[in-house]
Amino acid sequence: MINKKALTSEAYLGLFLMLILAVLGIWAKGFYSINNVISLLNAYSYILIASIGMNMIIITSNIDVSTGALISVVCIVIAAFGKIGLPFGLLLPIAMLAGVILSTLNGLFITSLKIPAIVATLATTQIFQGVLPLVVEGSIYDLPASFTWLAFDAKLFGMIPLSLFMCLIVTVVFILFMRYSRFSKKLYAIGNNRTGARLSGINVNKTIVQTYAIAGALFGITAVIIATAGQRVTTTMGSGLEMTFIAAVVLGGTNTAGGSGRIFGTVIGALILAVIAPAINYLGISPNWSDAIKGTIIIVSVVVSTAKYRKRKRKLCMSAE
Amino acid sequence: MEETILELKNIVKAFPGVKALNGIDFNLKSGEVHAICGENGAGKSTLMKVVCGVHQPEEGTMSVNGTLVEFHNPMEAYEKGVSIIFQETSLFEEMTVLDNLFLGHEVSKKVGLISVIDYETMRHKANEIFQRLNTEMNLNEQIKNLGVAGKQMVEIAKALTFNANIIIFDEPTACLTQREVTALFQIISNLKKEGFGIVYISHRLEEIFEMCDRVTVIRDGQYISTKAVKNTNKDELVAEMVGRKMGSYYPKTETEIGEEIFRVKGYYDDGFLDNISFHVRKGEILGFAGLAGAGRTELMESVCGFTGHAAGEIHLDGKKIEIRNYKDAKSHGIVYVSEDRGKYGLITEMSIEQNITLPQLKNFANQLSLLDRKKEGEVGAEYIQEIGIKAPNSRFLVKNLSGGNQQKVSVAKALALKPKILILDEPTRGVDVNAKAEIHRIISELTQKGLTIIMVSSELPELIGMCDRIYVMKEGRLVGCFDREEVTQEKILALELESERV
Repeated sequence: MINKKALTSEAYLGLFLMLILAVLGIWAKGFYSINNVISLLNAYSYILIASIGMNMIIITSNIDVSTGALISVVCIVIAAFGKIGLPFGLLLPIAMLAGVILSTLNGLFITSLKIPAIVATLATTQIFQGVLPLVVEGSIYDLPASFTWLAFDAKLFGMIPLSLFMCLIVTVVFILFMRYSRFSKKLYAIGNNRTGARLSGINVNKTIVQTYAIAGALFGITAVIIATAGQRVTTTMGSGLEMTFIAAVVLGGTNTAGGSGRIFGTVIGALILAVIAPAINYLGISPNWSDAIKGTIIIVSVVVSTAKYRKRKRKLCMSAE
Repeated sequence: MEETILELKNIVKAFPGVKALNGIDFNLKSGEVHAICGENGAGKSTLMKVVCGVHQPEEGTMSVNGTLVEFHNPMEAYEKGVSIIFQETSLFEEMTVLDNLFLGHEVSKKVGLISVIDYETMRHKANEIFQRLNTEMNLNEQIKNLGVAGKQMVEIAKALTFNANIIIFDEPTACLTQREVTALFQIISNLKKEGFGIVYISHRLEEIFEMCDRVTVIRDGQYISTKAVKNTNKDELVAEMVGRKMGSYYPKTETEIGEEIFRVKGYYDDGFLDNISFHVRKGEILGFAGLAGAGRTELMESVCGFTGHAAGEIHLDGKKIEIRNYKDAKSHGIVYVSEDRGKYGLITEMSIEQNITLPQLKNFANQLSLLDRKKEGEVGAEYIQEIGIKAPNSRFLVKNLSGGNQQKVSVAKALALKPKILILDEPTRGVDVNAKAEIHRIISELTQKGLTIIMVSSELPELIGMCDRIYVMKEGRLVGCFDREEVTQEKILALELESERV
């Protein structure tokens, strides 16, 4: 099922990643220390989990720019529950549920009210971000040890963080889901040709709402990893993260016009983005460059992907004669 | 053996403003190829879209394999045994052949409690189908990497995945090469032997006589006749497709025709337009006839410099000129009015006067480069008066005008550029009868003022009524030219339908 072309573009991405890692091995002293690798993998976990959700949304030719704000809200929600001593086993489902509710809201705005995805999610960004200061004053702090269990105590073999393990499960499940579920075919069909999908009997609106709901659950998991990293949860924990997720998806070869892209690409894309920030740090470049470098990588990858896209459309009949 | 598997009775389908289908009867037997023919816009494709559930009819009944049915989308039609191979393919470009074949009805199996897609079975079925079609196909290929014939093959295979026994082909040979056509005909005749009922829509009469058992003619959304192919001939079919007698409502006034003003010589573009040469004389109305896809619009757009990549010479007033882009064309006084006024012609959210002045804002600006609203208004009012746009004033938004009046704004916008040659592409498409007559009157008046007009139209009576000379285009080439005195609809249609492929 693997297409030659897609393989090469993902292979290139993989090579690019190896190059970065090799450069870091040579010039960045201490980059491969256990501590750094583990903290990098922790960041990678939450970036990848949310990016998989974002990938599904983008495949349907939609977008979600409210993800960062949504995650901030979910962080505060579970902090409130964590404050009263709820264990991780309850915080996780609560976070996922909260994510589903908020993200479904996005999906409903887009489908029922027919608001373009970018506008709808820009608006909900403002709403999510705007509600928080009304409810919480700055942050929820002095959270108990039960709250930070995931970050400090949940290690497999005394070393590998549980968050990485969660990420692995999510990734494997979704790679299988996107390959073997009938639902996934609907996503690609909608992204390719909305009218065609409708005419094939697919309930386009319902499918889009469901996609946002699934992505919301993944955003919820990401929020748990982010929130439980410390004893204080502020109202802006997720701010700006949506750009990282979108970047990971685009970098992974998913066309922003929708209809194509696979989880595996996102897996690599997210890793590149997770490496950039610490890499810059270890290379001795000012961290202020971090965002600019991420931005440059996004521009380059989008230009490359749209160039591919433009090439493919030419008038049918003209070339046939 | 010969049972009726598809029966349509009195199908009526209306779109805003037009009755696209008005009482169509049709029936299809198993093991036959039944052709539907008619002119451009006769309603062939609309009828088939009704059959397969893209459109729902206002009146009439449809029965498939003996039971009354109502379809709301093609998937329902597929499941009842009706499949259609569309003119423009309805495949999903980024997805693989296999995914396309089974989209919406994937085969699944249970693994534990979860149902997953069973690629093995799907692959097996698909290979069987392609073997039946005698075609090599890589099931993992993405659709975007297939040619037109390959895509068509996938569509046919898709029909077979549903166990459909009725297959509709809508202009299947329009984009195929001779070899691909032969292969397709072989497939169709195999399907026929297997007992499929096939509906075949084509412009090419030869194909109907080669392939089909019966033929139904429709015209202007009306049912005309159904005949066995062996009991009819080309002339009879053409006569039935044309049908109507020429009306006299085309107010063509005699104009003085002057010297040759514009000549195109040996014109080629990117392998589609092929060695085209034509000329126009001053004050003449020159028509271009042809079926949809013959290349008339492409020719006009190319002459006006929209597409680039063209080779050939253009002469204006006896001098050779270069047209690299539309700006060049305009500066030489060649102005084009697009067939799709909504998409390319007008900004409907803007007012009449703003639309008219848009192509030449420079001429309406004062020293500070600000727009001279007063001057704009004067010009707007002038054209509202001159060509009779029905609007309260020139500040009126175009989107609130009727189709006919929008078309007049398009013409006004072109006239404001003071053209020498005005190219009108389908000037009366989608406007009602009265507006049509008015547009014809305007065109006539313009030539009396010395303007030269090139007109592309799919409506033969309009061309015959209005034009001094008519070129016939086909597959990117000019295949004939008629003078006003000698032209008839039959002659044009015969040329259009003639196929040198068979």
